[in-house]
Amino acid sequence: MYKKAVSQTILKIALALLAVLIIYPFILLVSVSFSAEKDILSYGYSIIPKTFDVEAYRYVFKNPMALVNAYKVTTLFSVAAMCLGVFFMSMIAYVLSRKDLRGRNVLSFFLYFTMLFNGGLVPTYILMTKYLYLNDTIWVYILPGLISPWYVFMIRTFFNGIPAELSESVRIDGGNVYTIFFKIIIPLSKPVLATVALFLFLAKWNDWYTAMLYINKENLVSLQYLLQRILQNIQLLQNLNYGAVSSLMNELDIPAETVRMAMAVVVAGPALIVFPFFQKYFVRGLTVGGVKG
Amino acid sequence: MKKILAVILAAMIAAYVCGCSKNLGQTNKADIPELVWYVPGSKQADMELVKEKINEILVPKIGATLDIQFIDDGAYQERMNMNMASGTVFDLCFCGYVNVYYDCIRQGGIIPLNDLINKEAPSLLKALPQYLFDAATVNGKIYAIPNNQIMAQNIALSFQKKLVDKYSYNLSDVKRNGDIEPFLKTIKDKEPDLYPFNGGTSVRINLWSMDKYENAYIGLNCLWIDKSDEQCKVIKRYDTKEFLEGIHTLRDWYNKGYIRKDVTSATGASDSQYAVSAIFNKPGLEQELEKKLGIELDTVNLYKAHMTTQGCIQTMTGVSATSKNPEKAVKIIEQVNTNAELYNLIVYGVEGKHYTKINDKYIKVIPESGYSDSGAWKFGNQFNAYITEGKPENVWEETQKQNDEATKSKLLGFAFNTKKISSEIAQCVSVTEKYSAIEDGSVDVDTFLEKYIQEMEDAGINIVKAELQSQIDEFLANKK
Amino acid sequence: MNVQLQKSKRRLIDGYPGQLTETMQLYSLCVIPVLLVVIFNYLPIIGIIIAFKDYRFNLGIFGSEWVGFDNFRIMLKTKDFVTITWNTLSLNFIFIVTGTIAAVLLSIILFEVKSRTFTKAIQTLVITPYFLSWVIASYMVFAFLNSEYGILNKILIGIGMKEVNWYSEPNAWPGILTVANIWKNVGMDSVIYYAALMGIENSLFEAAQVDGASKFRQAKSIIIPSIMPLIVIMTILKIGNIFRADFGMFYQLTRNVGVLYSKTDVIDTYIFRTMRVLGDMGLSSAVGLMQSVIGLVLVICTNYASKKIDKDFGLF
Repeated sequence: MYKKAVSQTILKIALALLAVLIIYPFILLVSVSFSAEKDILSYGYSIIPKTFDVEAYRYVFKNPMALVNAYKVTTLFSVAAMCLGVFFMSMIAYVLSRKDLRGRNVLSFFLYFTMLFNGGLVPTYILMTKYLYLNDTIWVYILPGLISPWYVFMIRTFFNGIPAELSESVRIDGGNVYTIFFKIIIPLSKPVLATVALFLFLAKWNDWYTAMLYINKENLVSLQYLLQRILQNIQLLQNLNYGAVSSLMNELDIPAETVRMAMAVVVAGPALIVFPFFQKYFVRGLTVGGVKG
Repeated sequence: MKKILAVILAAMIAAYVCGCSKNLGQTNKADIPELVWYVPGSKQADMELVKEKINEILVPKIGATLDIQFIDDGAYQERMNMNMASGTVFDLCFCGYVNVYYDCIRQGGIIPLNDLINKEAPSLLKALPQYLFDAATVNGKIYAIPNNQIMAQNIALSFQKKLVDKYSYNLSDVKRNGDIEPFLKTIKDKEPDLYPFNGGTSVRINLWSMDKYENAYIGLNCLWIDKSDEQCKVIKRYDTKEFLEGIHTLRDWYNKGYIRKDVTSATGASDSQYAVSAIFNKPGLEQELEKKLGIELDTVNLYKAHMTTQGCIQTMTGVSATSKNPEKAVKIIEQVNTNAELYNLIVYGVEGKHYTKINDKYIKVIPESGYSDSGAWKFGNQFNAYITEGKPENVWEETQKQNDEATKSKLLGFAFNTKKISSEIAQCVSVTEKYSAIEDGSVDVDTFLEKYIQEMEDAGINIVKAELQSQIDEFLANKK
Repeated sequence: MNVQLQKSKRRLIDGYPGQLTETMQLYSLCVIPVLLVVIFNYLPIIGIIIAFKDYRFNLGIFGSEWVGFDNFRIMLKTKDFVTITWNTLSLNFIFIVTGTIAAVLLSIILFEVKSRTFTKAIQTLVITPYFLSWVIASYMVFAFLNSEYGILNKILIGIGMKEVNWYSEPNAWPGILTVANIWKNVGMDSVIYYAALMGIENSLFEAAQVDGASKFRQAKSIIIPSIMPLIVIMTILKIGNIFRADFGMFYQLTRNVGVLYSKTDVIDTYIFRTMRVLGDMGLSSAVGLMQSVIGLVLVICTNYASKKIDKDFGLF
């Protein structure tokens, strides 16, 4: 009894320490975003701002419409991709988990092959814009990458662990593949589906590359891309080697360090807030009643 | 449960199909073609309004309308690659420091313009100086028109005025960069909050070499030619005494504390932290920097301006291989470069709404008006543009003068074809980047230099040098 | 119950009654996903032939000239090939091993803590690095490591040691990168394993406790075997990408400082820099193809080996 409490405390302390180490950079990030620019340039980053200053956020929110719009768009396609993705991926994962399926290994390889081989940027771009006309639509965010072999295999492994007796009991009641899938498999897989949903949501939430390549309309720009745009301008300047250009490049607006941090907070923040919603699905054990033998 | 999903699925498909058809439902006026021009920059809110006014001028003159499409600076390279690779139809594009001119040519993205200019836009030839056309020529053909602006580099040292005054430093004493050493020492001793010297990310070693040498191949900063050498013999930079002098001095300054210790990895720190900065200079730059940094500066020009091919091809306008109206495209370029009214419209927007005229030359841009300065150098001859507040009145004349009076490289118009030696180039690039710290003073020169030279030799720099030399010889022979 | 078990076992033998309907039902279930994969993943693969061509925009993919293995030769001939390949392989290998161990360990510890609120709180904190891009992370690392006002150097001076210019010390970087990799991924990766742990039947633990097994024993005999299939699958998947480096990490964290290349330059960063000068799409396509092929070979081998240990461990 006493031993348990002590070991629990030790574990908790260890975890707390780890958490502090891991979150330290993020705290730094937030602190810098609330600091005055000149303090950062003179003294570097510090854990507590020397001068509390919301100037960076004022700059970020200068164009609130763009930000709000990006939030709307990003939330929309992230949620859509998450729902559709989990749904479709669990379908194919279930099919793959059925050891009695003819051609299962072929299907498995078919899926896995795409993880390693892809045609590259140019053919993908040509397909998406010239044949599917997906550019400047919200679907270009959602459809590609909806089926990720990585997650499919993860889900499949989980499905493998669901005892066969449960599926059998459905069959006895006259069910078929669909019934098993919807009535047994899905409800029992909350933890893994929630995990995949989370990952998918985050992957889409953080996606800036799609917007950069395929989106021209300002009102379809994703949130991460807004941030990336600012950061990329800076990278561009730093990579240039030519004298004539560096003097003409002075005309571009270079935002301050604090603004970069502020944007990072604005973008990462909501994702962190969302995480607890997923946590409630991490429920222990199989909770189907009445199938104990 | 299943039924709900089926409904959602059906709705999605319906929405998709509807979205699809919207793209296809565009009609074009049959006889007045619309030309698309891609340019890096942020989108302008009042683009439609400005576009209307542009077309009011263009249609009567050339019978075509113009659609300027801004693509974010950071995305421009990638987007243009994709646009060209996928065969997207467009007419004009910015090429230069991004969407590199030579790459566009090699990959077949832009077309040669010689005949088109001669036939459709002859006044272009008179509107721009000959040296620009020389520089842009590749194997006898021109693939894009340079947007005239500062082309000739000249190196300067920029001092913070308040420090110069505080320590009564006589700027006219500064003839060569080495002369500033006493000043750096003063700053180091008396001003602990500032860094004395900033070599910059692009100037650095050029401070010592640029009055004598020119970089013959910009991809590797290693093969130089003596500017006065008629035969343009290629020299490896580490064989020159100027290079050695330069890196030893920089190392010395680093050890003395004149250069910041984290110079190799420092992010773009604000220029106001440095007492002296080495910069590439152009007329009007001092004022621009003063405005940006909020401090007063004194600039001392060190060397005479020199024009190289690289300097001229940073900002150009090319015609796409996929264009259906190349004749009209070239005519548009002609208009933009000769018609000041049109040009200023594109650059600054509509008078009264986006800017106010102060006098014939000067204007004041109205901030947050829906159209901001879109970058004169992206479109055409910058010297035709109005001058914005803060720049000196004669800035264009001075710039033009600097260009005209600059010494011209003998290699204007020479483009190095690297196809045969791609792997040697790749290796040399890698070595160059690996040892780039040699130019900022942060490493011990003697040991580093030896390794640098050894690895460069191993990487095949001599093969590259030989190939470069033979191509240069051929180029010079053909020039005669 | 026994009858049911027998029925399901019967299914494992090929040719059982009703198999055709079953097979068709199963395949019909995954029609849409398969379609998506074909459209978005397989169609573009046609473009892989760019690796074998001298790609010109105006000639298109099919019109450009065929050059066979020339593009590959550029890559293979370079002297750096050995260094960058070794860096890519060794660093990725270290990442896989350390990352997996760290994530599994963390998930088990989290699992053992009784308080749900505490666990949830810790989880939320440790996943934060996942949301920061490498660009932002590189600023943090810079704040930590830089020689002027970096925190690490301040600590070193504080305990009486000399400060180190970390950005000039190539040998320190495998360690720095490993720590950075764990820092960024351990939180999220542990979530995956944590979810798997949630799926273990409680009755197993109850029975073990009744038998008086210690926590350690329980971990060994219940937890590890239960999540072993998942660990194996994840590892095999990661091995498939062992030739691909996380470009963001290697390029941003090191700030592309040349001195560090001997230990931090990987295939992806090397090609990126070369492309800036050469601009040849055929080259990048060729390298990508090479990375894929080698990854495939490695995966097939690993998959085969895993299946030998336990049939369930295979990917396919």
